[in-house]
Amino acid sequence: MRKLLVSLVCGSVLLPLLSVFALEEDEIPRIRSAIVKIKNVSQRPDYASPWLEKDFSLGRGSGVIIPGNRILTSAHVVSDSRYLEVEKEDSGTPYGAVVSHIGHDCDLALLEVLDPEFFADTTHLDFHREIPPLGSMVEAYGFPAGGRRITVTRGVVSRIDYALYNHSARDYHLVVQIDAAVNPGNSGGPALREGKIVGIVFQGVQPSENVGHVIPITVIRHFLEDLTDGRYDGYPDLGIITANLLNPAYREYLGLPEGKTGVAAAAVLEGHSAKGFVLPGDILLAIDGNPILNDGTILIDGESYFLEEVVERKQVGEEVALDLVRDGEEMIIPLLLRSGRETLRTGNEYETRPEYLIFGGLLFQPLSREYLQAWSDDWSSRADPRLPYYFSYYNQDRIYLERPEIVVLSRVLPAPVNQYYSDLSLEVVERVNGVKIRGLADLEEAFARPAGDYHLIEFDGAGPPVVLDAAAAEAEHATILQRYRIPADRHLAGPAKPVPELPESNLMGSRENE
Amino acid sequence: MNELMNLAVKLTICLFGWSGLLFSAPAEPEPVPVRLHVTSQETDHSSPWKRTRESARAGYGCVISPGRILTTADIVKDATMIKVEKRGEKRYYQGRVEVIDYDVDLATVSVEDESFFNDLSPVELAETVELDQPVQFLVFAEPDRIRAIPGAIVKVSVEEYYLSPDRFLTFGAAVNFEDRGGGWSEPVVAGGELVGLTMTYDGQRQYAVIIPAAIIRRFLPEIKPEGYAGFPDPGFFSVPTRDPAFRKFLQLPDNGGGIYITSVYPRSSADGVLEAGDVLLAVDGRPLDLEGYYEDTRWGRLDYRDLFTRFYSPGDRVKLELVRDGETVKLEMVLRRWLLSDYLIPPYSGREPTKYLIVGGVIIQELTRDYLREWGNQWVRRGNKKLLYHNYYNSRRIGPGRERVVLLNRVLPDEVNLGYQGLEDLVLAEVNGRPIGGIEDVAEALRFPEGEFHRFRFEEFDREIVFRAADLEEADRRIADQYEIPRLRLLE
Repeated sequence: MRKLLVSLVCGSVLLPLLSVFALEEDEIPRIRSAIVKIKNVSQRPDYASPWLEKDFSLGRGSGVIIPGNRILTSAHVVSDSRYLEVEKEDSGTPYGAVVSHIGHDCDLALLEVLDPEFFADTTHLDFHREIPPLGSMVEAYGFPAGGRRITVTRGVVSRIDYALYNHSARDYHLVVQIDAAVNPGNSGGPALREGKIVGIVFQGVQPSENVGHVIPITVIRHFLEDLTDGRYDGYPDLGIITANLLNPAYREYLGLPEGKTGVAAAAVLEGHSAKGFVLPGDILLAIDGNPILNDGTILIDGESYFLEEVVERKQVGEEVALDLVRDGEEMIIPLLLRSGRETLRTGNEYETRPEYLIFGGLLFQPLSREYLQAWSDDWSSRADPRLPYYFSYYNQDRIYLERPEIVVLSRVLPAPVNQYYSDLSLEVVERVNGVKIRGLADLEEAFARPAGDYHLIEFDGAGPPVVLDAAAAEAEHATILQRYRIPADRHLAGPAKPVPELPESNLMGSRENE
Repeated sequence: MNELMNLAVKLTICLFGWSGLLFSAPAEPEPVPVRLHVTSQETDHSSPWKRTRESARAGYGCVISPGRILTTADIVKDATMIKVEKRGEKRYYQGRVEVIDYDVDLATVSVEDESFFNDLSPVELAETVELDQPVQFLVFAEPDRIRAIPGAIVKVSVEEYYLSPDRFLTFGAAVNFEDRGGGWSEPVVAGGELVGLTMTYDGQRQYAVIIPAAIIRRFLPEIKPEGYAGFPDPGFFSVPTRDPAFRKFLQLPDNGGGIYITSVYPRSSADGVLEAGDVLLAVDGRPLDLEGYYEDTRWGRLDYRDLFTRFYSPGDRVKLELVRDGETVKLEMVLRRWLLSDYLIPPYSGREPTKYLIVGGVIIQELTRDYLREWGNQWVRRGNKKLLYHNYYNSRRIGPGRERVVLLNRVLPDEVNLGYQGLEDLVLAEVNGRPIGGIEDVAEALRFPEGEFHRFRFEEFDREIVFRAADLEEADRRIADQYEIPRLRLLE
């Protein structure tokens, strides 16, 4: 689900430390033997110099052994891994591990340990069936701050709501908030109730105190079910931008039948499940038979959720039925759920190599969140307003119609051929040699056909064009790459690919991160 | 040497003149500054029916012709009252803004009681100023005297002015106003003549920017009985043609000048004359070098915009020489003034009040730079990204049918706008199916409801909001009452 959710219900519910459930003390040794410490050496590409890798960093986290000798942890603990090891409490012996599956949209990963001996003296923990109710007690297990010994903290479930998953910085899913002290290193460790896993601890909320976020069992189950076919497809996405129908005049105008409730479809995003099936102006009445209220919520088992929750609980390839009114007629539209594919990458990226192309010393890259972040943490207020505008209004203002991919001239690697343009940066490419640029791949083709003796690069807006002498650009190409120690002049990922399958031999993995 | 001597003599005379004891009249008339105490009040652009709290400032001016005081536009902008004071008299006179030109940051003020001018003779404008020439900045000092702060002209260049993004000739001066601060329109004099008015002062760099006499000399004759004619604007954006590859590509000779026109803004002088892609070589026979400078006989290399603004009036014809598609072309262009109303997003607010319209609690107004400034000091960083983008790139670009960007500012909560209350900073595309290019279009479109409804469609996600036409009258009355809004619409 990707939608800005603002919720102002219940700050925190503090319950007296009633012993709702007393953990039997003999349970603890069994639990301890199912918790592992994870060490991950990761390396991330430098989006500012996309041919370079940044310095590696060491991250530590926790994980839990689940049935089938697998270790469940948080994706951010093990992403972009170069070297990964797991260790049992007090054992002192690290074991090499690999990521077998990783879901960056739900911040979950499964690890396999290369040596089966590892599991000789361990146990596994089972999953609880339910999301722990508000006010119930849960225990968080893990190795915060990389400590040698396991740490247990106990807290109350203080809130259950949607929240942003910081790992992708793009996806919203349900989150169980607990008031137990959780710290960096707790990430990936389990939250338990009645000795069973009710969630995976994954993020804190700064600057709030005593707020830990736990990935609930519903999201974990979704991840594991997704993997039953051997690969992770991720969450499907409806891609409908809805407008509430709280206003009676609006309801009347749209012709919402008396006694019914629903929301209006304002827009449908490209590349998402509803595109082509739901039309702007449709009134959505129900989703899989759950009536949609005028504010866009539905009730499931007496609890209020956003209507997208129905989709949250389904896999790519499943169907969802939408009851809607179109031009006064009620109809039911079955939708095949697909994973939402974005041309503009608005989330953090992992396990990928940034795309770029260097021509005549000019570095071109597609606009993405990673790109902007690499330019400055404060990009949204520091960058020339064009890039933040294109980035944040890409869907709202249909920027994609003109520019499915926004190609940016990042900067210029100074060389004689470009000496009059070395100050150019952050310009959006409009045309090259007369060819409209709708993606980095277009650039590759456009440079293959110079306009006479020159390459003409034009930018969005009133900026100056760049003219490169074609012969000089070709002659200097190798020298420029050599001079700036650039191993390859381009990395293009090729046409939009399906969800990447990760080879098992590939070591994946984390950052120093809670 | 002679000049220096002269100056020293003048200085002495001045000092005696000011003391007013030994000599009653100096040898030649010295420019005398007058002081303007201005109370101003601006529109609160986030609640356009309100005014901000009044504020006070003081600046200078000088008598430029009988009955007329010259000062800077920024001193008298948004004035609700102007008190004029002259040295030696402990009383105020009521002043009134006559003409104000925000682009060149100049204004004239008249005084109700004409006896004010009795013993003040108009200043003479200096014919010329040389680089490194000593000048004096005239300010009032206690007790009741005028102080001449010494400075020197160190730079002559074409720069953006204080209120508008337009560029005109400026003088840069090294000066130290010490603890009193400066930049309040202090008259700058040399040899008894007005060199210019201070536009801005940077205390850290001890550097003042001056509106030169050359601009004032062009400003005054444009004040005509039929109205103020203003300064012409060339009407295009350009870039240098330094790169030899670029020049070859444009089929320009290696050793020549010329600037490349990147865009021509609609309705400007250049609209229909110049085209994007042209290379401008010369203006009325004066060649431009490849960075867009021409050779001024007095001050050397100056930006070409100075040619258009300092030597012509609106309506004048100017001969242009350019290269278009490899051919040399000679054209004539009629110069016109770029009016505030020509902007898509006005960079400053003029004397007209801010237009707005409140319907069903929805505050509708036009995007202006002052609207963006409501984001505070850091508005350039903090403001809404889409609006900042338009301000930055589209301020002058007026598409057909779109005079202004019309906004939903925010919604004053009321039962009639239930469900719409969180909306803010949306660009209005349509009302009742009619495209919106200015706020007047909204008022017009509201005369034609779609059946029983008024429908507003915004650009962002095509989001719509709808009101029942019959509900609005009562709702508007309720909202005006509840939020104490004296007028729900101001369009004139």
